[in-house]
Amino acid sequence: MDGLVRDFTDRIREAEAGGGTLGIQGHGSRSFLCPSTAPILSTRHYQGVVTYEPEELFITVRAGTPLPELEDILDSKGQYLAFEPLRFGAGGTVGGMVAAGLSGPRRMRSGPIRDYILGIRILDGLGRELRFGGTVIKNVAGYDVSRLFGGSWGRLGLILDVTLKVLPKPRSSLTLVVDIEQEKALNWFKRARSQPWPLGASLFQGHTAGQLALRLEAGPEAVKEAFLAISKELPVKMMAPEEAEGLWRSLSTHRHAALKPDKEQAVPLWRFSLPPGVEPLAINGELLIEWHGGLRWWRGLLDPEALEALTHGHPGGVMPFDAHFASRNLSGQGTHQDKVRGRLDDGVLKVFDPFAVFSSG
Amino acid sequence: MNDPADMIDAEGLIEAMVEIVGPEWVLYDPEETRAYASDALTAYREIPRVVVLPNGEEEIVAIVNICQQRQIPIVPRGAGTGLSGGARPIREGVVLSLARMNRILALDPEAAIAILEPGVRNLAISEAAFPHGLFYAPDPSSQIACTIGGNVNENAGGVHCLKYGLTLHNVLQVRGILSSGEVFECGGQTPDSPGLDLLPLLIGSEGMLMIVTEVTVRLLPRPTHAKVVMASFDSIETCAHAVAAIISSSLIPAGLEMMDQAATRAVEDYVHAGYDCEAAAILLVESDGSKTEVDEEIAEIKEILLLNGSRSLVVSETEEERQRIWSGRKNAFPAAGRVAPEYYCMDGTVPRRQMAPLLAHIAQLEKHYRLRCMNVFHAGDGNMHPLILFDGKIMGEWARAEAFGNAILEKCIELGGTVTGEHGVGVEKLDSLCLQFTDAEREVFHALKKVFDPLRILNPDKGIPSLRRCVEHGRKRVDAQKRLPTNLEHF
Ligand SMILES: Cc1cc2nc3c(=O)[nH]c(=O)nc-3n(C[C@H](O)[C@H](O)[C@H](O)COP(=O)(O)OP(=O)(O)OC[C@H]3O[C@@H](n4cnc5c(N)ncnc54)[C@H](O)[C@@H]3O)c2cc1C
Repeated sequence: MDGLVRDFTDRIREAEAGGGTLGIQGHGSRSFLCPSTAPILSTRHYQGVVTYEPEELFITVRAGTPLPELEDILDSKGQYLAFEPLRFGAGGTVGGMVAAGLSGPRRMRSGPIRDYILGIRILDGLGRELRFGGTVIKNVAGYDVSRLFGGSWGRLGLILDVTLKVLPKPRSSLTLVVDIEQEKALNWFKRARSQPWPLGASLFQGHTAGQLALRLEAGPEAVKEAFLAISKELPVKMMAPEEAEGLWRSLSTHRHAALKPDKEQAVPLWRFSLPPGVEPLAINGELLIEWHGGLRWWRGLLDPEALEALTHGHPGGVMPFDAHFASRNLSGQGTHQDKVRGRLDDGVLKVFDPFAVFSSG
Repeated sequence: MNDPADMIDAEGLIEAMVEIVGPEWVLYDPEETRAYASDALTAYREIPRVVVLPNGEEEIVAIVNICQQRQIPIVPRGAGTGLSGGARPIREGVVLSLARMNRILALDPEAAIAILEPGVRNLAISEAAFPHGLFYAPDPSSQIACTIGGNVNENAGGVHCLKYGLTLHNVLQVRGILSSGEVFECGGQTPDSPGLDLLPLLIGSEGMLMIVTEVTVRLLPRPTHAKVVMASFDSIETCAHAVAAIISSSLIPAGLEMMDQAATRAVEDYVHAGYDCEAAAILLVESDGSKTEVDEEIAEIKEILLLNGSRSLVVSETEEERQRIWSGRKNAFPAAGRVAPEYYCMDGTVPRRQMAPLLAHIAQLEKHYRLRCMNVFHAGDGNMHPLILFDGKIMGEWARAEAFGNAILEKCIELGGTVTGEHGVGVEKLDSLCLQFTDAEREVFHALKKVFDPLRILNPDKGIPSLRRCVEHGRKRVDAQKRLPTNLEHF
């Protein structure tokens, strides 16, 4: 493994010296969001678990480790990645998961991926090996640099390995479904926020009316209690466990029918990131609403004005989930961003990568 | 010599400040400014030239602009309860107190968020959220006094952080003034916001990157029930082992705190919490949630504790009893202040399995430095607060206490931990940071500071040691790359 790190370092230094660029890639499963024309620096062979201490609730893994492999290892000890990462294809690598920073269905309960980064070892754009953070949950020595790498799309440097906080899996899970109007569903979430229910994930699919699915996760008693309480408000039914698993997996693997690209790929899939409480959007056609309203997927054609009108007055972003997603996301295009923000982002990028070796993603 | 008042106000600074905030909100008489000479780490003191108490962003911008033009350092200050000297004044600088900006700007129960001015006290947030069935989770023991601005800048934790996370996990958005006088907003009410995720950089940045003027926090549903188990152990080792056993079960308790005998005895004398003072160590384990959830968890916790060597157990039966049991832990620091003239609180974190070895080491250090130490810690996350007892009036005792503390922190690093879990680096742990990071890593910290604060006027002497300081103190971790940093900053 040290040989590989030396190779990485050499290639970065070469690129830096010759004014070249590099595109960091694991399995390339997320490349459709961040295609790069730069020569590829592949982490796929830099894999394996460095340390796993279940009773300390952390695992340190190399960036090229396949995500499903990591999940199997955790599963064997009854633990999991609580942020339920969004993955594509066969699952990609752990490095790619961190760099993309895309959370899955459990986002509202678990918080984003970056909350689970405890430490990181990187090679920066000068080929320097740097470590930040550690393996303990509480650590305020120096600036919290390791978490910056969540959602950095490979622009800050090459992640060699990452230490993630892991948690015991919930002891039981129950999915409830109900037919409901969209507006009513969104309003229900507002009330649910002050209720002590273990709401692990939610999904509304439909248009003005549709189906709402709620996933409860906790100890068996707590799940039962919440089920009874929610039943008093909504005529929910229990979903069969296998069916429920398939439903949530279709979201975390991005394979839900509403998310799959059409044959010609002519109609873009839009990703609306909004404050959860925002009312139903004035658009036609089927929507998928996750994160209690905070994430909305819609496929269709939108001109820029229509787009602006839709999100007007709301913070957040609307972007097509396509080849420009990563770069738009990093530059803040299509959102209410300002020039101070741009300057600071730029400055931070230059701290790690002064010669823009990784600038093309 | 000139009139001392002239010396103090050589550049008309005081007049300029008075013009911005009005005469009653500028303090420069040493009789008044003395109250700001230190934070709660009183060993590091400096009487500031001037203390300004602005009310509102516009006033802060005006103050920052003046300081920027004149290169005058600014030390932001919340309630001054910090324990690492982060708010310790700089002699020629301005202390900027955010205490007057203490309004809750909005509390939206439907979105479960609160928007706060920086001077809002931590406890005031939960009090305001109470009628809506919500609470703000991070609960530092200083919560009656400390401010959300200070919490954000220290990434404060509390006894319930094991389950509910630190400040970082509960803050959605931070707004503030950069040293350029510009407003910067970071994070947001949307679950993800574009651009680099700079929020983690700002949280725990100890007033070095910007002056925080507004914080949006998420509120959580308040658990309807809670119970605490108090368990006694005959040795520190068995107690530490029981902690590991709880964590490796599938439980995440709401709180998991440990105290050694020196601590329980000091506390018992003070608040009569009902602690078992014969035990070598006690554990407090809390469960919260619905009634059935709590009953289920408490039964499981009891079983684990008994299986792992607890010699007796008490479970709180009423809310009153629960509060009484916690009052001991929450008053550990003041209790230390009663058994010795002064105490020096450390804040290292180690992997949980290293708690017993660290405690054994501390026991040896007590003999070596001829000082007593009582131990309380957030055992659930390995965050230790050894309280070194000393008398500053006795020649050499403070120096010995400091050396004792440094020895503990060095051990924390050696055991795979960190020198500070929640109190920050401030001025206190600058030297320890030389050990924890390489030159190149510290160079990154300095460069990040420069991005936010190119003129180095925001709390410039805190948080990150210069390379020169590390070399001079002979405390330096070997750089993995053995590559000398370029463009060094010296100060
Ligand atoms: C008895 C006692 C118990 C404690 N218990 C805990 C505990 O359980 N957990 C814990 O984490 N801490 C604890 N602390 C430490 C302290 O209370 C926390 O660090 C707290 O977050 C500090 O808040 P403050 O408002 O007093 O900030 P201050 O001490 O005034 O400032 C702390 C730092 O933040 C900066 N700062 C403050 N406000 C701003 C602002 N608006 N903008 C920019 N910078 C700012 C200051 O420059 C300084 O660097 C305890 C302290 C005491 C005395």
